[in-house]
This record gives sequence, structure tokens and C-alpha cells, in this order.
Amino acid sequence: MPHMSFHTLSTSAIVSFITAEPIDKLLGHFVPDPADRKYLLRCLLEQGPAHHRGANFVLLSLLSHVLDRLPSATKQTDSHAEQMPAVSVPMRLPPHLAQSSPDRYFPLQLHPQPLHQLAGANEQQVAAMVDCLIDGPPQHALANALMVNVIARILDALPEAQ
Amino acid sequence: MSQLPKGLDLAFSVAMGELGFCSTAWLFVREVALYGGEDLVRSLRDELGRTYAVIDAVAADWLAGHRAPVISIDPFISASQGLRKLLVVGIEADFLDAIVPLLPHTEIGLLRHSLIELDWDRVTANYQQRVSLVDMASIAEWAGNRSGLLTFLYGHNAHVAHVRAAWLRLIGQDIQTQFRSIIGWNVLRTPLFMYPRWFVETSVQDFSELL
Repeated sequence: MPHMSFHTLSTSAIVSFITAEPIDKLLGHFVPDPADRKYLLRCLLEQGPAHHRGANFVLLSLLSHVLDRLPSATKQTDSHAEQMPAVSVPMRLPPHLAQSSPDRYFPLQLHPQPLHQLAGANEQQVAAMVDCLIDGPPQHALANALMVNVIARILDALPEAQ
Repeated sequence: MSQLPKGLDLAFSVAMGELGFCSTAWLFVREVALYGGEDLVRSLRDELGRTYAVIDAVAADWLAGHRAPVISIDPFISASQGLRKLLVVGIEADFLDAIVPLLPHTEIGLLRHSLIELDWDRVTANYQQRVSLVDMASIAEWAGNRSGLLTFLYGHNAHVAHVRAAWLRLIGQDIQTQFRSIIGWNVLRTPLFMYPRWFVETSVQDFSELL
């Protein structure tokens, strides 16, 4: 492939490959309400710099392909990963208002089970990892949470490492 | 010499603050039509239309045979489904009168921000304590995953819509992700023909629902 600078690509070239359908399908595994998904899609694919929108689309679409190749993962409704307490993703509000009512969280929860595989029984480390994942602008925090959820399903569907 | 009643433009400028551009324009066009028929509606359009582009649009509508704004309730009800809070930016009395009774379980706020001085208590008194006033400093208190924003559009095309300047004061990138639904409700049948001097342009991409 010939060398091409990133910056010769126009914004419209980035936006042109983004479609909502694959991400809506992926969200459907975790968020049953179509209106909630519409809101999340707007945050994931229509907010923030164009390259973030494009990156969210690419990574989440690829994860969706992986999930599709693991039928047992797409059908899991009692996933081991989703039996643990989930963490709501807070909206980015002024600190004195943030997290003060149930309405002030996005309608997507992060399932932290895979993080226990990284941190073992160290709950403090898991909490710190969760904090890293759900902090920041919504297009980051929501994509992070969705990716962790999908990875949890994939790990659940795969055999344990020998 | 103008056949229009004296002081009509001043009366309009006061009424539009408390009733909204479109609702006031319809009120004035109807009254002028009763007083002087089609010819006087043409005079109203000709004399005040450049200052108040919505008068021009509504008078044109009336002259084309329409007698009221299009207030399509079903799309609005669909767009506001599941909302516990609705923050309204800008007044359009005909539209608010139609929807407030239909949202008995939704907390409704009205942003206290206008280009002209007006009696806000008199405005909200029309809604029997169903609508509360919200200052710019407290907008974030209305944010939430079951919260919506509503503003009225004065015509739009595929790219831009005409809105009150208050909308631009509010709709920063932070706000866009703090509300589940961002509803733009077009109150005109056709885009404005005259220069929209009371309005500003915004991108239709601001809205999650365009009615």
C-alpha cells in the first residue's frame, strides 16, 4: 500500500464509513430498549472528533464480527461475566451534580468480570481499572464499557488457557 | 398611507416575547384578516414582514389558504416517549398549549432566556404550575438519561435550521450527551423567505429528533 499521510484524508472520508447498524446490533446484546440504544449510538458515533467516531466504529464492528463467530457468546443471557455487579457509566456533569440520581448515568453498564482476571482478588485495583475505563468524554467511556462487555462474552465463550 | 392599526409592530414585539414568534404571527394575521381581509393581510406582510420574517411566512401561509399552524402531536409524543424531564428553549404558546396537558408525568421546564424583556411569571401562569422556569446556571440539573431538550425551529433544510439565539447559548458539546433526546420542532410550513433577523442558524445535526 503506498504511503499516505493521515492528514490527506478528509473528515467526510472518515464519516462516510460509519454506519449505525452494526453498533446498534452489538449494543442490542446489552441494552434492550431501542430508545436507549439510539441515545448511546449518538454518543458513540456522532460526538467528539471525527477520528474518535471512526475508531469507535472500527473497533466495535470488529468485536461484533468476533462475537458473531462465537454463537454461544451471542446467545448468552446468563453469562458468567454478567452475573457480577455491574457498574453504571456516569454522565459527564459538573461534579456537584454528577452521580446524584439514577438518571445521571448512561443506559449502559460495564461488566467488570474480565478485570478480575487482570487484578485477581485485588478489588482496589479493579475499582481503579473501572475508574480509568468509565472516566472521560462519553464517546470514550461508553466505547470502553461496551468493549469490556463484549470481551467478557468472548472470554466466557472460549476455553480456559492451559 | 398604511391601513394597519397604529402601533401594531410595537404590539407584536411585546406579544412575541410571551407567546412566541409563530403563535403571535398567527394571532395577528387572523385578527388583521378579520379587520380588513386579504388586502390588509397583504399590507401586514408587506410592512412588517421584513422586520419579522415569521409574519411574512405566516401571512403567506394564510394567503395560500391555511388558517392555523401545523401542530402534529403524534410525532412529538413519539419523540418524547419515556422522558421524565423536558426542558423547553423558547416559547411557542400554540405548541406548548397543545403538549403540556399530554405530558402529565413529565416535569417541564422553560429556559428563562429571551432576547427581549418579558414577564416570565405571566408566561408560566398559563400552565397552572406545570411549567417551571429554569435559569442557565441550573441546566445541568435537568440532564439525565430520561431527559429531553425541545426547541422550536423556524424552517430548516437538510443542513441548517433557524433557531433562537438562546439555543446556541445552551447546546454545547457537553450538553449534547447529557440529554437523551434533543428535539427540534419546526413550526413553519416553509423555510423563511425574508432575512431571519431574530434567529440564528444551527446545524440540524444538533438534534436527535427533527419534527
